[in-house]
Amino acid sequence: MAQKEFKVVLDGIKLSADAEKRIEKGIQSLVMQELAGYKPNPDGPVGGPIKVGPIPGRTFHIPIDWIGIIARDFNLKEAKQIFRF
Amino acid sequence: MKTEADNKTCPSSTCKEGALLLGVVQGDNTVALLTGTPLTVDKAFAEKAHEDGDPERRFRFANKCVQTGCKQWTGHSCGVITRLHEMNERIEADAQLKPCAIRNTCRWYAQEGDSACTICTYVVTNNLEEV
Repeated sequence: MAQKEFKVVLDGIKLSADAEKRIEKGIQSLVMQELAGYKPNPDGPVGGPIKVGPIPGRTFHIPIDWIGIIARDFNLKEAKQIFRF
Repeated sequence: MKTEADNKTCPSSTCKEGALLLGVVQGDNTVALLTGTPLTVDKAFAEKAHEDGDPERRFRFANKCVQTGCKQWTGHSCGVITRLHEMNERIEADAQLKPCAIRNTCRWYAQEGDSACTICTYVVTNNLEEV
């Protein structure tokens, strides 16, 4: 997954501490505005519907419900029996 | 008197004003953690995020661990990460942990160490089916 960082370099400019705070707050606010409507991108490298499948380098892992927060790992044989694929 | 144990952060909290935005759930149901300066949820974010359904399906939020104020608290620890750790005991901790904005105070990390961080990115706070 590519890391995306947005930077503004103010070279040779000394801003007041208040101004720097306002800029920082403004950037954070903009990021939050954009993220608020975030949904997984179906065109992205890991987008699309959630599929049951092996996680590279991991055992078979499937989120299941348990008070809304749980995950469990299965081995491939178990998973094939349960999900019949 | 406050102790260090009183100041832990819950990495699987709900979307409300003042919480930190910890990560976003990706298409494969894993969580991409946000690093750098923690982003604090404000009223506008909370309202917009709720417009598209439960934000806890699409984001992960962090907030103060309230211990006995949470139904997941077992009396001495967080039952969520304990259970997750037991069910994923074959998962080995990543050799190099991903950057995390709250690791220093994270309740799960304090309890289970590095393996908590490996499990963490597979946890969606609300993965209940919508009916």
